[in-house]
Amino acid sequence: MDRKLLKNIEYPILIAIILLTIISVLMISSATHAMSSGGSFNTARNQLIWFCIGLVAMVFVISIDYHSFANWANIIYIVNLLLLIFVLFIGEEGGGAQRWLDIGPFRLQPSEFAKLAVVITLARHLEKKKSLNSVQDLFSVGLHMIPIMLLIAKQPDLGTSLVLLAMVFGMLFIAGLSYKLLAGIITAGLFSLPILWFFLKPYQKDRILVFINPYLDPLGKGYHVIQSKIAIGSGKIFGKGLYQGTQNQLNFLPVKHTDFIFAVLGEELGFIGGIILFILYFILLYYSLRVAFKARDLLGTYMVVGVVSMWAFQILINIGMNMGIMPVTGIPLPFMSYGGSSFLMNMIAAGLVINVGMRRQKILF
Amino acid sequence: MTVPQIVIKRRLVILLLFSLVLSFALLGRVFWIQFVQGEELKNRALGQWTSDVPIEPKRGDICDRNNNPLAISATVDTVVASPPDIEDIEKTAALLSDVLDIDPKKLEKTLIEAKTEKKGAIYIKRKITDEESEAIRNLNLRGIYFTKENKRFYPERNLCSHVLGFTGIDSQGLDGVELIYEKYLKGNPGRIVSEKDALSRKLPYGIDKYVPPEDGLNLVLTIDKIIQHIAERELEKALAEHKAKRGTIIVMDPKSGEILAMTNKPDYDPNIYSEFSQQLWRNVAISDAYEPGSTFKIVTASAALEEGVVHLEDKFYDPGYIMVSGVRIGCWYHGGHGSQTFIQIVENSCNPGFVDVAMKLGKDRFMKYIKGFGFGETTGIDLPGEARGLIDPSKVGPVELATISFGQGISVTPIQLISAFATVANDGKMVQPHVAKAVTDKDGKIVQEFSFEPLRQVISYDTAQEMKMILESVVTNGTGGKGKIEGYRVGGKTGTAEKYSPGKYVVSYAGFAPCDDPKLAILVIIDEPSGGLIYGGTIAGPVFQKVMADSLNYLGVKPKIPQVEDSENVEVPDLRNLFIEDAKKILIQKGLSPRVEGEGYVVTEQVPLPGVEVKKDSTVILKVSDSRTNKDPVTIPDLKGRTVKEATDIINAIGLNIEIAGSGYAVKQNPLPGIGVSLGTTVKVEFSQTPNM
Repeated sequence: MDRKLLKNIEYPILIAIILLTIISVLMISSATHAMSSGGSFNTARNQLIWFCIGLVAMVFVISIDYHSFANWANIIYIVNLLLLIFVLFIGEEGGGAQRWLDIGPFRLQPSEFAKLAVVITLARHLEKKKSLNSVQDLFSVGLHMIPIMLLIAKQPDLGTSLVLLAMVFGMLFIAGLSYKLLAGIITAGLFSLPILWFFLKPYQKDRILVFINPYLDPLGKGYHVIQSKIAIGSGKIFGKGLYQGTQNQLNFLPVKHTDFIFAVLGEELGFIGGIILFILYFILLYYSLRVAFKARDLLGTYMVVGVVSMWAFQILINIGMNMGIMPVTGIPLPFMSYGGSSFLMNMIAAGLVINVGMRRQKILF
Repeated sequence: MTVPQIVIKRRLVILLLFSLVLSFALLGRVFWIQFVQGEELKNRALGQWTSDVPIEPKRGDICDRNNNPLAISATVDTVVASPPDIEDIEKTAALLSDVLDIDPKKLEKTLIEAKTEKKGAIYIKRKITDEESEAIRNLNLRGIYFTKENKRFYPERNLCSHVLGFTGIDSQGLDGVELIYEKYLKGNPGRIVSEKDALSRKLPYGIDKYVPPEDGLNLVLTIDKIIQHIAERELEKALAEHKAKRGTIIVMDPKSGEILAMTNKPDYDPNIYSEFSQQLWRNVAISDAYEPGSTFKIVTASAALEEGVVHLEDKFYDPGYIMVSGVRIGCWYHGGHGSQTFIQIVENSCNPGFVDVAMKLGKDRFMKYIKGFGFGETTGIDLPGEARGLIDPSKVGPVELATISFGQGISVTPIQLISAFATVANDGKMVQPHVAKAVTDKDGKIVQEFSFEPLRQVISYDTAQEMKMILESVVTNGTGGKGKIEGYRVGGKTGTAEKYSPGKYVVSYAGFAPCDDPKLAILVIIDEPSGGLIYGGTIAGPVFQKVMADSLNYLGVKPKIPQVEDSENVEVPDLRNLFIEDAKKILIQKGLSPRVEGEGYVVTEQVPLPGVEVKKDSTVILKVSDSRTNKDPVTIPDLKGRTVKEATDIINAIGLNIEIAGSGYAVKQNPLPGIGVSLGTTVKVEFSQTPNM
């Protein structure tokens, strides 16, 4: 069995991830070089370690048939909820939100794993549904998602809530959600935006205002976006060279090894670096969608589409934010931004995609 | 759940396309930021981390064609503060303001603001004196630094100021060649890189990269300092003598278009340009259009000859006026010039003659040559603020055509006019007037040479030769006599134009020499001279003559014509304030013929002015009047043989008193004739019934 399955591994996905990781480690090492004088590669090394851990996790995920995950869907759903509840009470605070759980030497971010959980549980949920043509059909989906999204929004982690929303949309869309309903949801969403405004925290409101005009507060809330744009723009076609980015090296760029890693890349590797990154992401998304296309059953298709929607949305929002066309939300760039939980989660997600791809043929034995 | 496979597949493709479109949109945005906004963002990035003081390059020198410096740069200190490094702002501000004579409160406020805004460096005071710099150095203040900056010096002060222009506080060219050749002169600033991080702190392990500044290149002008000096000296003298409002002189090499001198007076000192009225910064020679008057007639004459509508010996008759569309256009010379050839028309500067010529030429052909000589368009000289002059063909009717033929109803810039004269001098080929010769590096090696091809052939070689011949004869036989230089063949033309306010004139003289091989073309304009007889010839002519003679001599151009015998040439005596009969007598003795204008006993004005050499048998115009003159001193007239009444009238008319002894005819007088006395002096005259022979 193993040999047959191995033959079906979508190697382009693996190669794209490995190349992305190499770029990521280089960029992180550059971004953190100035932070610790004398130059320490600790952070970059950590990212590499997370890659290795992720690789192990990925192999583990690949080796178990994805149908088994679906069978555990109820347990996964409950564990997910419990983790999110825990984090509200005993979570570590950081950056104005409670998002982390201390587990031994690591700090875990349950909201990252919530994404994975949703991929599995929602895929299972949709597989069982008969149709998606009426509001009633959508009701159960809402029931499934609302507790998770509320808990995450409560942390608050607006970014992850939005990613979840995008994943739900992507999966519903593939599951045959009628265009009439799709249009209805979008209209309802647009109309509820002003109401949503009142539920936003002041800093979230500021981010959106500053997004509309970053020069409102160039040294304060608009600083991120302005500096990031300056960094990208000053890179021009070939960039200033690795470790040569002045905006990055002199710490004009904020949170550059996580949310603003793309700006570091833009400054140091220029437009060429940007294009390479886009190509790698395209390979990742294209081969994943190919898996969804060829999947043996709907469960597999939904799972893969959930993962693809998640990645696509995160890439779009993160890069858009780096260039000042999206508001600043703490959404990491898949396989690029520094962050253990996020990296591990992305590796497992990729494992799921490969898993579905491997088992696309009917088992013949 | 039963979703048809086809729906799922279609939607997967839609999803793929959707993410593809978004990817391209994002990539487009990256492109936009990096390429369209790139330069600006890059500069902003540069500005952030090199917020410390850049090192100013040394601005290139400007020198004349013989490498005499006209503008040089010297380094002086500028005080800068690095606010984050200052320990005690209040104390620092107090000490600094004491030395530099600035308001301590203001300085303190500036420093505090700069510190809160995290500015890397700010100027305290720029370009300070050596003493101030020394005093501050001795204070040993933390966070106070010095940087070298260049200050521009113009060692010749006012000389050539309108061509040179001046520079601002950042050593940026603001006017003249300083502005036009900024890109060569300014150089590239250097800097010390890696100094500051986001908090404007000096980095502990900062890689102090020193990028040396690139000094500016030197500019060599076509200006010749000596000729410039001659022009300025003569212009100043003329303005003082005639109490004129202002004046302009341009000296040009007609073959290359090189400007050897260009001056407008009054002018300014570029070292302290801000202390002068901005009006004085104007380079009138290229920026102000004026009515050229008769100097413009060379265009009419050239066009007419080139088109063959007249020939040199064609006969014309000037009754003193000409009627054009019912408008009477008079000649400057009362009574008219009578019958004359075309050459004589130009020699006499006869307006009706030129109107006649212009009529024969017609509007279209005339306009073609006006344009051909470059009027109505800028010459393209390498100086800022050039005007185009005013000539609107659509508004030119018969009357305008007539007046333009003698240079009225059209406005031209001095540089346009001298270019037209240079074109005639240069056998009809128009050249590009310019002031820059070359750009050199600090070792004097030529980096770039400015060369200009001739622009166009405006009139043919033959026409140009005829024009040169005519203009030479204007100087030898006609109204241009004042421009004559012994030993040289000079071609020239006078011009007088009345300004809109009556009684105010612009007089000019333009010409070139030597005629057979023109080395120089010179234009002299005197604006609003005061005094009696105002003609271009009498006021601007002598200035032209002096500048031309001195410049040719300086350039070593040898006189070609053998000195004319003294017997054939006569110097015009000073006849002013003389009794008319005495003046006539003197003239006849000298071999000149007098012509009296007006009524009275006393000569008040004369043309030509005293001291000018003229040919024997030339006419000297004497203007007489009855009114007392107020010239001082007065020359005592010869009263011998006068009756008591005559003598009394004469003596009173010239502002003196008479003491009479005896009666009959004057026989003796004291003081003697010819002696200069001051106004109101009493002259004793003895009369006798029998003339003492």
